[in-house]
Amino acid sequence: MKHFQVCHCIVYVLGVLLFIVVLFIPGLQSVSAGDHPQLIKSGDFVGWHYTAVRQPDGQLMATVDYNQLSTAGLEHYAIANKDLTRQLPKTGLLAVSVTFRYPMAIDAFQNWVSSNGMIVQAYTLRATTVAGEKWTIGGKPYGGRLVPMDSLNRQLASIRAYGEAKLDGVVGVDGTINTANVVSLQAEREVFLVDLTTAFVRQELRPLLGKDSDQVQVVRPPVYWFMEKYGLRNTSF
Amino acid sequence: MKLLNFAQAVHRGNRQITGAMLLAVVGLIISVSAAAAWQFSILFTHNSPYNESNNYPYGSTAYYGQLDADTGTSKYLAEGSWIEWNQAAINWILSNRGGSWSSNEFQVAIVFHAFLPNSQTCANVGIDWWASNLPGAWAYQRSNCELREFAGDPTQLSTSGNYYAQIQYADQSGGANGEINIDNYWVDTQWQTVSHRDWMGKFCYGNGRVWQPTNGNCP
Repeated sequence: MKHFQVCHCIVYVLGVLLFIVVLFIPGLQSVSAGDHPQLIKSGDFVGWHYTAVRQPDGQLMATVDYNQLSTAGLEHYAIANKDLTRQLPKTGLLAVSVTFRYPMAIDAFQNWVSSNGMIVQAYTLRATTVAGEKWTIGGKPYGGRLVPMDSLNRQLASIRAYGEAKLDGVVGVDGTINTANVVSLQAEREVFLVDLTTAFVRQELRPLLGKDSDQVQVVRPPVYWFMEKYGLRNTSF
Repeated sequence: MKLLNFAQAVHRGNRQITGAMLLAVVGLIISVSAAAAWQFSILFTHNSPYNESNNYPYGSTAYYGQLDADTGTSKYLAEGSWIEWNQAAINWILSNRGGSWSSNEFQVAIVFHAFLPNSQTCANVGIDWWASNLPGAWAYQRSNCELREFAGDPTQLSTSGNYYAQIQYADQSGGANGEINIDNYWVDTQWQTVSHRDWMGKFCYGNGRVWQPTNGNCP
């Protein structure tokens, strides 16, 4: 019996030690690794898909995805977005993500935002080096300025540390607009896509989350990059 | 009766040993899988190893801080610099990126965290701007202190490319000390979970200044 007890103790201690070793393996410790998000809801539609999850820290996130491997994939996504117009409320403010066909100069962008009555949350810019390398810059309004030039110039200075680069302009913008303006926005010649999936996903989640659905952060891969890659900038849907 | 008690004792003893052995085996399996995952991340080892050198521009991370004269806000810019993937890593990325629905569900990302000193607690900061030359670059905030910058189009990754990812934080604590960590992760963009961490570096900040950690710690 003593023999059994000794074996038992040794094996038990070994097991516990192994667990402790695993816990302290470097590189496995991180803020998010090992935590498990909870699925709230996912949806499959023609041309796109979304997955909405609640993170262990409570953050609500949804990722919109589409087939990025082909021209047809992006085309289907664009067409699907146009169809969403009919499935969203006809009044009030709507979250949109607009992709332009070409980079828009800062001045023109400011005028465009003003004329469309858009409340801007964030935007994406493109800069290109003399070697043709593409840089993507993410920015947001600050202190009442739509494009705070000091922040933009700081980013450009960092980029130029690796070679001369020019700012091409704004290629996409996220914000909210009056629902009544969506159709006219879709028809603008500078606009490639008015992405309505953020509003649609939040609407899908409302029965489950109530008002919290408005807090869901909806993210998606970069439409401008793939539009450019597949030569679709002059295509209308 | 004694024989029966002895048999029960042996049976109970065996059950305890079986339980302990099971625990040990489970521990062993977890250890081996964890080690395997760690070895996997070797595929993300870069041609130029990361370190904490501030030998800009040859170092693998770059950073600076400044006190914004207009607003009195401290701004900190961090950068993962001269990032390279070898061909084996690119091949691995391309052959493992598909998920259950998406063709591009798993993506490589440069991830920035601003923490309180020597902790994993978010510092009181806001994320201002970001920039990257990663192909198909896009980014989102995972929390108020964490930004993930993705290579959204890994088909365009090149072994001859040097890639960069930058972030600008705005302090909201009135100049308190903190640290900014830069890592490379393999991210499931649907579930937002991360794996295959490749640590790139960290630096300390406070009151508009930045400095290197001492023995890995920030005061």
